[in-house]
Amino acid sequence: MVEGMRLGELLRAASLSGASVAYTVSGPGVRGRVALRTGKVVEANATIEGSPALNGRPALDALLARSAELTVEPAPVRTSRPPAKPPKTVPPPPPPPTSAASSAPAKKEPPSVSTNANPFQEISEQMRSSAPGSVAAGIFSIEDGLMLGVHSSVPDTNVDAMSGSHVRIVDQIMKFAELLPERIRGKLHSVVLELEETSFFMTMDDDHRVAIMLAGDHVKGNLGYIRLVAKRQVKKTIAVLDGI
Amino acid sequence: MAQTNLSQVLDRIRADIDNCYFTVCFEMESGLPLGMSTLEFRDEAENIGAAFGQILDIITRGQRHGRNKHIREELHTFREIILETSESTFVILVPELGEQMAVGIGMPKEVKLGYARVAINKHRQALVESIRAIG
Repeated sequence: MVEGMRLGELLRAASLSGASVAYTVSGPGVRGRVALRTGKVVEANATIEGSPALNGRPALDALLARSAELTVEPAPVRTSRPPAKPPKTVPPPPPPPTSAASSAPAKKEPPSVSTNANPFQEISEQMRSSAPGSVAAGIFSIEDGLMLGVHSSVPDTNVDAMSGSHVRIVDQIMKFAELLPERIRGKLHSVVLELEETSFFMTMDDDHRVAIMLAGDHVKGNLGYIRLVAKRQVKKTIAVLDGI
Repeated sequence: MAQTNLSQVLDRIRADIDNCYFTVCFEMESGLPLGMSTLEFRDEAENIGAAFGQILDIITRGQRHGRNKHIREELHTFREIILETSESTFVILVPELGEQMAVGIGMPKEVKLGYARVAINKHRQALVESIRAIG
């Protein structure tokens, strides 16, 4: 069992370090498996009591939403993709490991959680501290919806659910924006959501598949400042991503 | 009469924003346009209303099913969403909370956002009144 770490935290760490790992999870009425290859989620499935089996993104979302109740165990990494169709012939055994260190059995590969501070966490904290009136700041991957760094003063924040819903908003806005006339549509690069007391500013870099979110209070902060701080942090985030 | 008033307000907002592509008022649930002011996008009114309606639907779904109760409550006070793209800026606003009508505005990205917001706010009250008049 992986002590003291939730599924979301383990996946974030693996995603950041580009690790190839797999985990099986279990909890009350829930069982599932998530696998990453070089830091990207390549497999997710979940069986929840009373519901049909889930695969892919819905499975990942369902598991992350329940991460507080789940027990996580490291699992062997499959060396080949799971067969999409029933194999026509007897499946070949996994290739025997050679003596080269690079082809050591995947099971030996640890989740490689870096002991260094998470640079995205540092950027998130910096964003929050430099934007007066900000209540939450986060950096997340548009690719898989995992939060890379977050700093929030909103109580009861489920970080994984938060990044998942932000990605969903971005995805859907991109999809619906396609209905707009092509000659004025352009490529989405930021979204501002104004609520009665709070503004959310999200800016994204589509090439790096990463987005930054900064939320601030209307009274204590101002949208222009929030926008400026978030946009500046995009460059810093990309520099960190390029360096990984 | 009410619709004429609404069209006039939409015209005034469009005239106040340089090179504004369109201003459209639409029903949030169906995304159907109730009034539009544009020089070149009249044929695309339904598509624009549908796109904006769907984008707002993301917010209303968050109001009902959001996992964080604080965010869920906050979403009930949704006022405005601004989308900035490489070509344009789109603003979708709910002039009055509780009303089921929203207004969408499209403008080139060169238009300064602050300036556009001033133009919108200048007509916000008239917009609210003309929407109320529709009943």
